[in-house]
Amino acid sequence: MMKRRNFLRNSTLGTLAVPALATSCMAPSGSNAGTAEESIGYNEFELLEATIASLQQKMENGDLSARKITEMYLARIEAIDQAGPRLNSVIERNPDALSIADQLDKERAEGKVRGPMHGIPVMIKDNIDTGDQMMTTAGALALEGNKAANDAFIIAKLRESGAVLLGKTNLSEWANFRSTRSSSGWSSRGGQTRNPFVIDRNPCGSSSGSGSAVSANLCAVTIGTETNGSIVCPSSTNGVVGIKPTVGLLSRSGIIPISFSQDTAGPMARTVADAAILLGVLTGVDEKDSKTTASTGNALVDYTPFLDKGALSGARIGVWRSPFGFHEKVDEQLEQSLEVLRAQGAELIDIEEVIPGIKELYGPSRLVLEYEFKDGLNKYLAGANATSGVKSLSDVIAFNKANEKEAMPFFRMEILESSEKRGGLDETEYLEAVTMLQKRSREGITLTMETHRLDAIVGPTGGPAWQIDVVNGDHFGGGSSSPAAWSGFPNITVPAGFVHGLPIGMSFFGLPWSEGRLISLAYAFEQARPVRQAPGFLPTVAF
Amino acid sequence: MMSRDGYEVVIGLEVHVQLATESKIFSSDVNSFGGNPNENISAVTIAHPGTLPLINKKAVDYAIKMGLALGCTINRELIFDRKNYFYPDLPKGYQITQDTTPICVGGGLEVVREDGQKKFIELTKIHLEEDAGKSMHVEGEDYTLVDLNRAGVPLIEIVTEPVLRTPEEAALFLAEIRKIIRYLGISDGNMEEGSMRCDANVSIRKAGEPLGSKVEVKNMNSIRNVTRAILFEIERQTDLKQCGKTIFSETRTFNPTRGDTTGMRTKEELNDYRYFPEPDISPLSIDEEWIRRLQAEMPELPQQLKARFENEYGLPAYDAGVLTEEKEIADYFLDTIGHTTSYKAVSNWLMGPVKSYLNEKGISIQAFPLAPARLADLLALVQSGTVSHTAASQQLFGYLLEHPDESAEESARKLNLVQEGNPDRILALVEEVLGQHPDKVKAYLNGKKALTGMFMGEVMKKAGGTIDPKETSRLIIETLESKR
Repeated sequence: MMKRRNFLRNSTLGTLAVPALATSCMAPSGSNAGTAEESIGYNEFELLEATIASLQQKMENGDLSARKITEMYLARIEAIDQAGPRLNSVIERNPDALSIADQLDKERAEGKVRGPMHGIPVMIKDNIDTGDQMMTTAGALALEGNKAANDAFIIAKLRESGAVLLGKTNLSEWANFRSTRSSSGWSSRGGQTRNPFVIDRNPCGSSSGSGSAVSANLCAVTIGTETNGSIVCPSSTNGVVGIKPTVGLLSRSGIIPISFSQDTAGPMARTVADAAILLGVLTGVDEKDSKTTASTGNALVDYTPFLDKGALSGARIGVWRSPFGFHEKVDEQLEQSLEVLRAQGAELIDIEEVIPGIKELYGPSRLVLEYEFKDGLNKYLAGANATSGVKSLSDVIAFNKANEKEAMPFFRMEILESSEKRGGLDETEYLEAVTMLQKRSREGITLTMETHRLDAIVGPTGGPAWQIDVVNGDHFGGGSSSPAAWSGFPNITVPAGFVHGLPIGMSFFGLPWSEGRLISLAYAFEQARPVRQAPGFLPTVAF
Repeated sequence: MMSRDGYEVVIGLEVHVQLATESKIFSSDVNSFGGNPNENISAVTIAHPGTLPLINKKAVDYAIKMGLALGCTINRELIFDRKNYFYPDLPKGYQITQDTTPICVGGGLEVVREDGQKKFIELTKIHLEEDAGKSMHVEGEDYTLVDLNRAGVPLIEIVTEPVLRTPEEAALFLAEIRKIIRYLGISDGNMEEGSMRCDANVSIRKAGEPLGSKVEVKNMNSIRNVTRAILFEIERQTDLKQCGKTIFSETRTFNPTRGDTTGMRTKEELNDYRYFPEPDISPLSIDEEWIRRLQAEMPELPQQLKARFENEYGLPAYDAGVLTEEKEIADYFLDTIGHTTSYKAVSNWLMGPVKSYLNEKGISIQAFPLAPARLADLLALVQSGTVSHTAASQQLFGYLLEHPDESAEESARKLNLVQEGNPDRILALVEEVLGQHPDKVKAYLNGKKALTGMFMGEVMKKAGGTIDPKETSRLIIETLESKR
């Protein structure tokens, strides 16, 4: 067993070492991206790869305070997000962060520790309301100046848990529901976020900043949101763990929406354990989000009891085969990962297709999102107080037209426009599509799981990061997020390997409310194949 | 086991085992797991009017074998009954089962607890019946899907007396039952796939009191989950008693994610089912001849085999237990000792390098590349001192796994692992080394005996590790002593 571990460790180091060595002599001269030598300095950071538990330990021992930790992360944001490799993952720092940290230190000194998140710095995606000095804009210039009156439900929970709200992260504008030629991680308010492993590469999206920031050790953990792939893809591409929970586990009130039926927030973290801790503090029934009522009896406030190294023993795992075959090196890493599952005692069952006729569903899916986006966004914007004064989707469209140069320098807004043309949620076209989409996806996963008595289904989360291209837009390389996204079922991605120094992840998805089981499987996999590495901020991939 | 505050725990188990027959119990539909929904169903399975069941003799064979293995009395007349209830996954509206005349009665099984205590667990009965289909609720949708592939799959239900007292006893019993059904080859006993399922009846009472209300817990898909479910149920029932509340007789389902149980339905009374004799299947007589034939086919059972491994081959109880855990491993052991008498060495190799290899590859012994005779050859090389144990386990074994058709001895030569047993060559090396260290030889002769280790190291280095260390050590001392 030991030998095998070493082999895995060495082989992953090996894949990283190739570009690292090569770029030191091949970095394009005059590039303002740091050189490899500099990038070594970027990882001389006392809190590099710190876990929530290790930070908690340091605060308990009195080695560090919440204030000190907050200062260290703020300094790092200054050094590598705003300067150096300029990840540009943070759209706004919280001016109250240090005073929050002080308050929490005071409580600790008085013997009150709220829980595992006490004093832990967290950043959240810029589409989640914070009732403080920070704006909530989904990256859109049209929403510049929008300061929410109240915290989103999950942010209130986050504050209660004792977290230090350190700042907000950049995203694909409107959570990537603006144009089909968009560049993920780009927003008119925040600019382009970069991938910390290779900084001319795209961080995927739409939770781009949350993925890039947590991977680059700019904070302890982050929160992202997903409609279809927006947590798992940037998690995979930035080499971190991401949990897209069952829709309804975490309240969506106070989050700028795309889709009532698919949206959810979720934790992004460097380890499964950290993600599990953050997930537990965010759950709860919220009367403002009807989907959360179903979480009664299904939601837990602590998922750490599921961190079970031995969980793969006897587990039955379906391997969804159709998302394979996009890139032979991704497949190779996945096959090695499957080998690890097997060696840990899991039984693997090949599944060709989870949802029969899945291709027929992409069209209806877009339609459903457009209807729900219009309805949900109009409701959100009615209460917005942006400088531009936008109160509806049509106002946003008008604002973008009037400010074309700043708002739409690279791609347009055809999805905003087609959404605006949609009717209300009582239209037959919408009702038929949403019913069909949910029925087919829920049935597909449930039947697959029940027929083979599976604990989870796995598949590649996505391909390696593509180069940032604001001119032509994204270049996606496959993925497995749709079944879980459409059905509202949970999905977790865990780092599974590297391709040319770029991280890729493996997704575990399953039946509703099975977060505990998925966390245990993901954790056992992570422990058996510990491939996560701090990013090296390389200027480019050697060729 | 006493629960908190002195309650005694009473557990009875009902174990359903799907029989690995090729077709279903009353029709020729294929009996297999994991197919597309409603693929293996015919008019009989879906109970079209006018269809008649026909008994699968293989299923009866398997049930009798299980009864023989557990020391049950075999009922000589096979009679089926109808158990009437309505459920969407039961197309006939009744299940064909056995009520008053189960095929096997009595019998039991001994388990050995962690503390070394033995306990005999009595069986009430084993009966034959058909499985129901499967209902699948699609979360978030307002309908349920039905898959009838499983309807009509033959089952035996093994029922214990309420004699178990701890979750540990339940786990040991299940592990032993699973081992036996695999030895008999009547089922794969895969709890994860549901080919073996266990319901636990759990109640608590103050010592000496009559049995408390029994709660049936379902949906445990591994032995570990059976343990967890029983533990949870003991705690829950004790809490209820503590608060002076009533424990209802009900069926509860175990949630493996949360580790708790939740109520499904209150228990039906037996007479709700309106049992009556199945009129479509005439009684079948099971004669002596039939039973004799099955008795002749019975393999040696794990407990007998374990005893034989201990008594006949002198293996420690631990080894015998590990080797008989799976029939295929036990068979491999028996095949290997057909070629060697070094029983303990075979056991060591099977439990050591072979098991590690199987675990690492996630394969069973059937897929192990090395034939028993080849493993015996490898052992013989170690026994004769031709190859050192270290070289055999670290190099030769791995090589043979990659080249299972090559001879062990030739491979050893090819890899340069053969130890030099020739005393002349060793002696020459010893003389050479001693000659190079006259001062150390003198020191040895003056009493520094520990220097033999240094000489040993030097000689081995010169020989490149290919000489027998025992022989070398003997020759070094002999040569040194001869210089006195």
